[in-house]
Amino acid sequence: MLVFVTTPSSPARAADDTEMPKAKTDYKPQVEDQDRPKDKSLLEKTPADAAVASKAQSGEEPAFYQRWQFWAITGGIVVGAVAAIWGGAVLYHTIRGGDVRPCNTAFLTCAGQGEPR
Amino acid sequence: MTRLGRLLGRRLGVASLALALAGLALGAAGCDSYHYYDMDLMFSSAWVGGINSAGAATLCKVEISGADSHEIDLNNCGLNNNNSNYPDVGTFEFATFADSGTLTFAVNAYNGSPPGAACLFGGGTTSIKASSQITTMGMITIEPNGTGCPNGQ
Repeated sequence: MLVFVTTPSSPARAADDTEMPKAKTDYKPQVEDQDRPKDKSLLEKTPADAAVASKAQSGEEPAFYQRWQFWAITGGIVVGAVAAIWGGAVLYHTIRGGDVRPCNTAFLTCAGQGEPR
Repeated sequence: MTRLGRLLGRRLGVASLALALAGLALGAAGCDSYHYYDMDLMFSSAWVGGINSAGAATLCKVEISGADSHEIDLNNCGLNNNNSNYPDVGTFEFATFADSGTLTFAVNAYNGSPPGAACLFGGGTTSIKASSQITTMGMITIEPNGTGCPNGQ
């Protein structure tokens, strides 16, 4: 096996080592933050901010009827009650035998349970 | 969840439980189903004069007793205007939930107007075992068994 070992001794490298460092220029950021407001008045608090902050600090909760949960639960109860009443009536009617079969028109009459008197 | 939400949620749970219990109670009570008794009503051949005597009928009272009870009035005992359906006047249907025991159909035929007890002039009785069968056929025969009102008055 043959192994070659090289050393950094090129003529160009030698030339770099002899050059003097250049003077520093003024620092210019490549990216400028345009979102940062330079107008300080924009950062000052407005009266509305103070009102919101004071209300938040007072700890006052909205009335129960102003909560969406209240109306969601109330709506659910109303719908559930209507469905329960309707379903209960249907269930009761079914358990009680449902509808009597239609009377044969050839019969003299039909009477008894479920028949109109 | 807020206190209001918890409270209402708990009440909803209680209402659901009550509904479920009501459903169970109704289910435990058992389901009814209709059973029909189709009874054919006819005059017997014992009527002297046939339609000339039986045709005086103004009312048949059908009294049902036993496993169920009911009363059915049949004007003219079911005879039509020209008595063309004599002697087999036709069928009436009795609906009941009863599926056991005995159903007794007693028919009393009257002449006269208004038909009173003194105007009884025929009758018949039939007993049928009530069963789970949906439709049961039967027959009631009306025999002459009284004098009725004189001249149908």
